[in-house]
Amino acid sequence: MIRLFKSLLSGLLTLLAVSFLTFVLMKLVPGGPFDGDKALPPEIIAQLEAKFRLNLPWYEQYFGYIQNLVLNGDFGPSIKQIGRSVGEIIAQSLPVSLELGFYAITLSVLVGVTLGVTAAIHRGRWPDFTAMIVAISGISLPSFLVAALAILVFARYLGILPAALWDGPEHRIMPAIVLGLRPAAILARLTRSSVLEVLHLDYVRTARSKGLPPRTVLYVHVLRNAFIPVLTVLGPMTATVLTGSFIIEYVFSIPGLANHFIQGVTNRDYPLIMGVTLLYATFLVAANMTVDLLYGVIDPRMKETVKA
Amino acid sequence: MTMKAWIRSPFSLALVAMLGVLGACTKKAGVDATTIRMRLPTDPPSLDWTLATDNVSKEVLQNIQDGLIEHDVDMKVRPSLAASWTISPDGKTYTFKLRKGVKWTDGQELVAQHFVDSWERLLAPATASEYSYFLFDVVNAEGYQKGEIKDFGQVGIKATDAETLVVTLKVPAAYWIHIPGFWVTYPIRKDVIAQHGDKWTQPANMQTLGAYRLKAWEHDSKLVLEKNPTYFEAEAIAGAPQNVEFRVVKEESTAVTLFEGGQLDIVRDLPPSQVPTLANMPEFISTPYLRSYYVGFHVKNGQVADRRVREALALAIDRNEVAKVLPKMVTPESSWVPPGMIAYNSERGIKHDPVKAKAIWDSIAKKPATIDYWFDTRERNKLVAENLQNQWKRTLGVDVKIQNQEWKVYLKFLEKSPPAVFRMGWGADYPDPDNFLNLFTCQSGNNHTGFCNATYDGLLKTASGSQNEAERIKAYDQAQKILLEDEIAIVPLFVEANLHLVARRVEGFRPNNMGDFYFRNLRLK
Repeated sequence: MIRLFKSLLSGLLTLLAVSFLTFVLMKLVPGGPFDGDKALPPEIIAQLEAKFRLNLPWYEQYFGYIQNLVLNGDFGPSIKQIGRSVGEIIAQSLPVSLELGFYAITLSVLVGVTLGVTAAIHRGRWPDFTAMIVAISGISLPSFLVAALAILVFARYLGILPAALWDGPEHRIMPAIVLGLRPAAILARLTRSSVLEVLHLDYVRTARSKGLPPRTVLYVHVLRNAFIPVLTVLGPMTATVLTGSFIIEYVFSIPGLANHFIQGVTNRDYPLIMGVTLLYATFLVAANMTVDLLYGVIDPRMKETVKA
Repeated sequence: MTMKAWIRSPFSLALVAMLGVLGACTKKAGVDATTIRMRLPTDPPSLDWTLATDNVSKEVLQNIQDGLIEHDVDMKVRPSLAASWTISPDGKTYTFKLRKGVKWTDGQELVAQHFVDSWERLLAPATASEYSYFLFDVVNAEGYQKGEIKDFGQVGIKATDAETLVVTLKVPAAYWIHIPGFWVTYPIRKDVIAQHGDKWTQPANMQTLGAYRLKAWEHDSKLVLEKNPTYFEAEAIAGAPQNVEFRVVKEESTAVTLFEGGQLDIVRDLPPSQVPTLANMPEFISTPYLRSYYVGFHVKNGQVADRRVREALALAIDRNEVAKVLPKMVTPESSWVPPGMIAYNSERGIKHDPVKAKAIWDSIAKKPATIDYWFDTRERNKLVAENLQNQWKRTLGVDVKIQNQEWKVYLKFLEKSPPAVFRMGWGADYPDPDNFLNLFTCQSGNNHTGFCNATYDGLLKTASGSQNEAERIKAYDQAQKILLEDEIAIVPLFVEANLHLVARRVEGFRPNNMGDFYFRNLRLK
């Protein structure tokens, strides 16, 4: 219980630090939301700044923002998407990113772990080489290239999948695979090295010498331990994938959250930058906390360490 | 692992499942003969026309709402909601008579007060509309906008009866007839805004009176318009597409792929790298655009403060060579007033003359060792910068240091510490030379050149105050001469073209020089 409380407290402090740093950094970047190719009269700029409270001293802006967020759960209005609040923008675009991220992460866990285990148990033979070539390609190839190639092959040449947009189930397939490719590759490599490490431990030898069938040794004894480093990576990876990928959303025209992050920065839409960054940080903190808690479930030694 | 074992492994099962889903989901989308589909590069930032400032919002707005006037394909002013107008002999009073029987989508009749309400909202300090300055020529409009005048009754905008709108200007401004075509001046329903607040632009709440009305808006994904049955020329547009579907497709290449796959009918803003190839397609349409690109000099910057340095740099530029780096996208042009406007003069501006350039350069005792050239980060700007760098080195032997910055950082930089040489562009708000030449007056916030010339400013005042076209052309031409040839504050390089892919089933697609077109004028085969 104390552990959970401590973990929550450190999470909140992290979020506070993120909010402050983001605020300071975005204000340090030259150019403001009202700079454009048509210069505005200074009086109009002053009115706009007053409207969005940008005329106040920086600390009042910051504390006002935090106060409004904590007390009212309000992320403020978007400066450049007129008439939409940041809360609305998040509410409309986050589910899309979550859905896509869910497909991608599920796919990457399935494919990555399977590839990793296959490679490890067939170390030095063709399944290992094949799996690792796939994995290294997945890590090395930038996603914009994979996305473009996928569109070219599956949409343009083969015509079996739509090139972009987010209308029906068929529109989910290509972006989910492309988005899941890199995490799958990372997981595959990690699982492989992790399984290899565990395979040589004494308790595995014991299990084998007891005459347990190889499958039981693998699935019951090896995988459980081998999964600990994978879990460590999986936490932040899930947070990243769920909050969306700018490249994937951009190339496939998906109305997700990541686009708003980039658009927010480009437009200097301060409340949007703050809102999306904080949301992303919350996901990351939550994912790390979940991983911390799951360690205890997967590895009883962790629980004992804490008790001791 | 044997093949048999592999087949039984979870990995192969996952692969089979995936392929199964792939196959099951494969389907071909049919083409709807009543719906025209167009790409939008972003979600419209605002459909509140008092506050909208961008071309994406404009694309939607000008199809769902009308102004007093509009520009036809030849950029001539034609009546829209105004049936007619008169301009007083002193050029200061505009009296608009509204078209009769125009109804909003809820059936309410359009009255002149709707314009007064709109313009009052536009100028209200609390609205803080970025484009409120478009009305600053009107008597007391600027004072009201700045909060110095509290009573809107003192502003020169009056509805004398339900059908008559009278606008009084501070000084005569010949270009002013173009202003009521700009979207911020469209009439508005105060009652609708009062009822729904900033949610009035949602499909269920919005009241408009254009040829189409807003049917659905899924942010960042699509926006659907349907024909407005209460439109005042409903019968005349009976053959126009029943629905317009805008799809938000941010990536240019993706838009092209969707077009090629038959999922979009109109795509604008093509990816520069693909333009040379796309230009060979029968669906490629390039139209003139009132948008110019120039190299600016900061005339007080040590590197280029000497007029001869600027002249040598200008003479050394071969615009045809620059244009070659952006094939099919631009047309070389030395006049700042672009073709298609009065006062356009192809002879204006400094032309390419490498021999003269070198002679002048060599005659300068104190030459700058290097010259800084800045641009905002964009592929095309980089190509232009590298070409200019090359040309200047080749012709004059001068080293030019090119540097780039992100757009908003760049704008701040131009404002705070302008470099010796920089690139900039300008697109017309209204098709009058005033809109282009006004940029370089002493007071202009868009003037990053440090050029300030009383004669130039005076000529612009004379030109805008005159109703005589010949007199105006003469004044603008003289102003251009000062800007481009005498002082050499800027060197125009080229005018841009508006590039589109338009499906062959679309007929009647002819945007004017400001890129405006109306879906009501299109037909689907």
